[in-house]
Amino acid sequence: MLVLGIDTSSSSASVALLDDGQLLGEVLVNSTKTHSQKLLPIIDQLLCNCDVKVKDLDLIGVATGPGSFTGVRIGLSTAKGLAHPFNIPLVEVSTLEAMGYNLVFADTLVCPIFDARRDQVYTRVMAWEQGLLKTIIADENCLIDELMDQLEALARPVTFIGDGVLKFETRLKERLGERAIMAPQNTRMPRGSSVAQCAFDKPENARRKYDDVKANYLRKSEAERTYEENQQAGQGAELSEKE
Amino acid sequence: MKKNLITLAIETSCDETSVAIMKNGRTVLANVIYSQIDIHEKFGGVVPEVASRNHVEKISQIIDQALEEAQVTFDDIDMVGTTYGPGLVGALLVGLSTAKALAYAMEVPLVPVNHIEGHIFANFIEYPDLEPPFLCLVVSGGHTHLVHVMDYGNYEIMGKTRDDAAGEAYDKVARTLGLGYPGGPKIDKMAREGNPEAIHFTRTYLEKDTFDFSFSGIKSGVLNYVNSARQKKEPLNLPDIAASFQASVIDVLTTKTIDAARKAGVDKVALAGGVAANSALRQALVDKCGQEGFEFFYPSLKLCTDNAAMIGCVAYYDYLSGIRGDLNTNAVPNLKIGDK
Ligand SMILES: [Zn+2]
Repeated sequence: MLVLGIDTSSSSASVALLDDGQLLGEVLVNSTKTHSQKLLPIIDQLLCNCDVKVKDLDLIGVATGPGSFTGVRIGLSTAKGLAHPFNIPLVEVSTLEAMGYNLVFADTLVCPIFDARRDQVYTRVMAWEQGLLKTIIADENCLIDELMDQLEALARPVTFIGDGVLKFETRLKERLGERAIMAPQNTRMPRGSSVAQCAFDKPENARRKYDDVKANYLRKSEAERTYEENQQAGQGAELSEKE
Repeated sequence: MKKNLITLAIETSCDETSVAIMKNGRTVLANVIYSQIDIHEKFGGVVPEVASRNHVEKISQIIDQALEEAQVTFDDIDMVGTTYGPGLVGALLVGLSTAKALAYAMEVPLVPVNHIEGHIFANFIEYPDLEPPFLCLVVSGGHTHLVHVMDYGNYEIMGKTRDDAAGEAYDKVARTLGLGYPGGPKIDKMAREGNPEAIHFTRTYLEKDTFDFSFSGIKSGVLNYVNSARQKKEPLNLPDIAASFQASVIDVLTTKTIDAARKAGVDKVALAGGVAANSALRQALVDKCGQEGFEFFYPSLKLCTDNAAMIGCVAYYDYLSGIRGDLNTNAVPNLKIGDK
């Protein structure tokens, strides 16, 4: 079974091709070019090198976030466009869950952190138990301090990956001491192979039709949040007037 | 050689998700438009992030609807046309990424299209016999251009707005009058009950011989009028204000359009863009062109708003002249007419 994995939710774009669990190829580009310029060329490069056409694919795993909103949409739109003409099933994969596959069989907790600005992170906490990736804390968008509280309570060694490592390394070490381990560079970015493997491992009922996949933003748009805050404030004012 | 060329066209530059299937550029087999206007109304304008999110959720369904309506399958598609600018970058990227992936998967050419050229080409769909050259007034929420269409793919911009687009002025005035969003249709409707000569707002023609526009002056004129009336606690006649504002905008647009047509030496004038749906503007141009001896063309309402059929029409003619996108084609949010 040929599985294409796609991830564009961070600054890097990565794609990989698996055949029945065997990795045929992988490309990762972490340059300043936009995903719109990077993604299809690396897919083409990968497929050409493996002598595979889009129509030969049996499954496309696509990382749906959380991460860069625009990046996630470029990956998702591309996956949908590739899948549509041939009705290739799609599997939505959380970027953070897939990153658990970057550190297969780690004996610590695995914690990807993406910088979500304003001291916030997109994160998830996982653990490998008897060859299976278990979720300890599901995908969340929280303050780095909140994450550190949660990790402190778990009282176990944690290996950190993701682009947030660069930014938060010092604070993580200060707070968690020796329990905070920074993974080596080559495992820190989302990888197409992790997404493809993760998609391959999902049960059959996780396969979706091309029009039935959604982005996993974990966060409303700024405009929606402001609107809802104003609505609540407005309602509050009305209530107090009545009282 | 195959006789008919079938284009699948995608448009997502603002808040409409649209997919069309075109035969040979001018025949619409399907033109499905999903408008997000209700979603953005509560924000008082289009929110780019919200628009992008809705595009990616809807796009595949709209493609299926278009294929079904046109009674074609992917096997029938000869090329994919898509808007790549101008527009909201996040919104453009959804349609462009989808189009690139579709074209790549189907192994057919990709033709990236300029959205504004699309608006002009809506006239070619409406009038199968229309041929260049002609002068086109393009008015939409974000653009006000006078374009001399010399040939397919050969354009000269004779004039453009130096500040607000006509559509922006409409939105701001509508907001001041409390008419809500979008401003164009709301003002147009209210203006029908008002007297266009009730208030004189100063028209801005800029320097002699320029075909450029400025609408910020007219807009400020209305805002000042409303503010001073409110300060003096005088009642406001909203229909009269709407009608007078609209008359001043239309005066400038029609005068410059006719002057530019004469300068370009054409005998045909066309209207295009979202604001082309405005009934008073259409009527004014019908009258003026009639008086001055120009043949006048304007698209039906559905072809005035953002739609993919017009993108498919440009894609066909650009395809014939050899234009192709490639795997790294990117969105260009401030793309100019004629740039390739
Ligand atoms: Zn438009």
